[in-house]
Amino acid sequence: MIGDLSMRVKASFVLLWLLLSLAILLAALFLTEESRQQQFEAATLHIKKTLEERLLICETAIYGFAELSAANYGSEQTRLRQFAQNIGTRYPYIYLMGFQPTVSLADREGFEAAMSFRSKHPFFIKDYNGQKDSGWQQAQFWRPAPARPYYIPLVDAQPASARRYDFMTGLDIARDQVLGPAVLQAIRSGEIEVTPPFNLQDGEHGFGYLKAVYREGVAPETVAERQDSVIGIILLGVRAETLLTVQGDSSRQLDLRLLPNDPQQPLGSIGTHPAATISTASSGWLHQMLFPSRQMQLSIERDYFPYRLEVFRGDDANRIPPPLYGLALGSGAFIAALLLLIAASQNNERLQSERYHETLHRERQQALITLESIDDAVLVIDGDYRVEYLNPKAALLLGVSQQRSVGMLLSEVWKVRFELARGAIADPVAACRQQLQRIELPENACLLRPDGQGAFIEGTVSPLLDQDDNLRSIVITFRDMAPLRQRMAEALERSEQRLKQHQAELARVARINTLGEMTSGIAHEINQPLSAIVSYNEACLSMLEDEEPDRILLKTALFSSVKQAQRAGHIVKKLREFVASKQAELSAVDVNQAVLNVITLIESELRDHAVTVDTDLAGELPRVQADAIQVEQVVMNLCKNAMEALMDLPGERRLFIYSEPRGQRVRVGVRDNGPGMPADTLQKVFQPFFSSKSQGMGLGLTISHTIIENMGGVLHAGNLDTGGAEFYFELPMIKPQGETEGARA
Amino acid sequence: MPAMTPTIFVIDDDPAVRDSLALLIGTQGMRVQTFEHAEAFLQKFHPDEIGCLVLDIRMPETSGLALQDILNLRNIRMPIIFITGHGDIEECRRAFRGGAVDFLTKPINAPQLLDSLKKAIRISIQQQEQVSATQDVRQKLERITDRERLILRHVAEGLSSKEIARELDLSPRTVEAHRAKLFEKLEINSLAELVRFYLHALEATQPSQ
Repeated sequence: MIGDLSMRVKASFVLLWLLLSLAILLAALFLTEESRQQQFEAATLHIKKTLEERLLICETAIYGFAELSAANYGSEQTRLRQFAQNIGTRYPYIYLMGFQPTVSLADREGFEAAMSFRSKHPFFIKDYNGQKDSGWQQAQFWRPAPARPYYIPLVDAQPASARRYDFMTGLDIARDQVLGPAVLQAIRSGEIEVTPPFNLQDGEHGFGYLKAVYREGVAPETVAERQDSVIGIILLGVRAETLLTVQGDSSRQLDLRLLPNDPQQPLGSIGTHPAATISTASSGWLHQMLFPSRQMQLSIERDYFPYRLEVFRGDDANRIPPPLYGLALGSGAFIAALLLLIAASQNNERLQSERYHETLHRERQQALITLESIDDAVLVIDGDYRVEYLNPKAALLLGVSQQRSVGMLLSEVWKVRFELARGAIADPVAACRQQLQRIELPENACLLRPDGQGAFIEGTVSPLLDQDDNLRSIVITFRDMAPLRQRMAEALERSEQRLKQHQAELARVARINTLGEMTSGIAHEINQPLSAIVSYNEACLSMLEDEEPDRILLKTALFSSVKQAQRAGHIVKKLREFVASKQAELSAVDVNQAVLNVITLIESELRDHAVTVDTDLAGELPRVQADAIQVEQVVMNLCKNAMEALMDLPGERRLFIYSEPRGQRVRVGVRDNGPGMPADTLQKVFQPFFSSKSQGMGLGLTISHTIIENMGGVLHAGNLDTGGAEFYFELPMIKPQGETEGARA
Repeated sequence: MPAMTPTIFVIDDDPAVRDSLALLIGTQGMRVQTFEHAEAFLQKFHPDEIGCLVLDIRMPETSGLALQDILNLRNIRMPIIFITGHGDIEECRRAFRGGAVDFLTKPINAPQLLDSLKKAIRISIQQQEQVSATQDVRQKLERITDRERLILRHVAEGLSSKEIARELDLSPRTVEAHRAKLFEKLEINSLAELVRFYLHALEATQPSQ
């Protein structure tokens, strides 16, 4: 079914499949957009919550550290170190924790000495004058701090992992470019403060939590008092990236950034990825439409925290999952296949319908042409006897116009009466209408034509039924019987003629054979008296040898002998009369035809005796004045004689028959390759009752001779130089003037 | 009692041929009877007669060959000379197969005919003699008893009386008595005649059985 579709249709279905798959894919993406958005929001909220929890942990840690520092000020710091160690291990984003004491100018020298002694390393309070992000490692940017009222040097970095920041030891964080403002702010506020972000050695970002520790334990009321009573600052270093790293599936594909609340802040944002990847400018509109970049900014509910959280879903997060491709392609293929099946079946239906219509049209044409061209008249009427159709033959027979008759009543165009009917004849049309059966028109139905002439017709009246077997139309077919009758008469005449010809032919063949049979009969007839004569004479001779012959008996015997001789003579006379009485029916005869006729007649005999016949018949031979049958009798007699001469011949037996013009005559000769005839035989060959054959009658040649002479011809016999015998006869040609008296004489 | 003179039966539908043949044969001192057709001959003819048939092959109704068949069926072995207008090899063959003596064509050559007639009569006489001899033997055989017939066989086969007695479990004297009776009944005088009779008897009884 699908095979019937063209390649183009198939190709377009492949295209359709791809388009469908794409459409399904897009639809699926659109439909899932909201859920993805929700998912995104949930993830964002989760991240925010996590972040806030972590900040709270930092807060707690710094408070705890502050409490510990205040309680153990100036004493052993083992507990502090342990605390910092614990915190650093549990919360990896807290990388540094330490209490940085306030050192007054007066105490500076003593502090520096004490610190140098403790760390076994020269210690001095210093400033950093280099760039913010680089140069920390270079000694040139580090200078000993000038005289100030107080210093807050960086001396404590817990846990042990924070040792790598030892190069910063001694940095006066109260005057540092980055940390300084926040430190001073922390002293003033007594609250937790957060430093701006800074670069860490490993490229990550960090920021610090600051909390001032006062002598009284709690922050004094006024700022001046706070500045006076501050004994140190607690610094808690936080790794920003580690802080933002949130475990969980939903957050994996998200970019997180911390944006400063104050746009004026010079340090900018901190993110898990470089800011450039967020850009969607390179993607097309479709991509934007399908995968709108999601971005959410959330404020962190920590008043000291100067950043807000931005969550961003980048390109990588929007890859279409492979199962969706499969689903789209699969369902696309399914729908395309369904459509293809429908198209194929429709195509099939269309083809069938086309074929059906074509067949219908052809059959209609056939029916129409048949109806138009058949020699029978066809007339179709409806149930109300109105003409629906009539073919040209019907129009011709009825003598009406084919077009004008349609719609007329049957009785107007078809007037039929039944001549010589013995009884009342029901109207065949009415009968057909009633019985719904095919009705033959009665015999002697006579059609009355408009010109007043009647024509005998025969035919049938058939009902045309619809599908429910209700009468739809009536079909009348009829034909004029006159031509049929004439044709039958002609055919009869022709067959009679043929019969006559056959009879004539048979009679002719019979007559030709008569000669042979006649001679056989004559031989028997003559043999009887001859035999009697011989016996009488032998008896007489025998009697005469007696000393006293019985004269009476002798006389009787001789008398009987004479009577038998007379009887023989009578037979010969009768034969002569018979031959003579056969008045030749002279006509123009084609001797070649006569020869061919004879060969046909003796064909089987020739075959039986293994005799082959060659002929050399002259073309365009003039005709001769002769009796055709008699000529054939003679030719046959000559042929049979020749065949008998060949009977005892071993080897090849040949007959040669020729015809040729000879002056005013036509010669027909028969030669054989037999032994030929001895000289004495040749002389007597035409004498009656002479035969060289033991069973010969000696009459055939005599009669043939007589026949030919009667027709004004001659019959010759002779031997050939090459061996064998030849008999030929010559008959006069027909003179062009038609002078034939000579032949008749 | 049939005539012991041989008779020539001429059958031909042509009266002239019949008459002339009868005259010719008559001049040779033979008895002739003529018949126009086969039926007439069959009515008059007696099986014991000696002679021969001169028969035309072509006759209306029953032909010569048909008559030959009829006679053969009736076990009449009278010799036949066929005469015909013109010889047909097939007819000739049939005639000789049916036991014809000769096959002559018309006109009849008289010396040839007379030769054939003599030959035919000779055959006929021999046949008749044989028939009567056989009849004589049969008559005589009917006179003797079975025991005598058995002894006849043994004697003819050359056994002595003693040997026959031993063979038949009889006394030689009894055999001698039977032998004397045999000679008497069969009208035989010598042993040679007895052997001859025995051979005739074999011949005569063999075909009849």
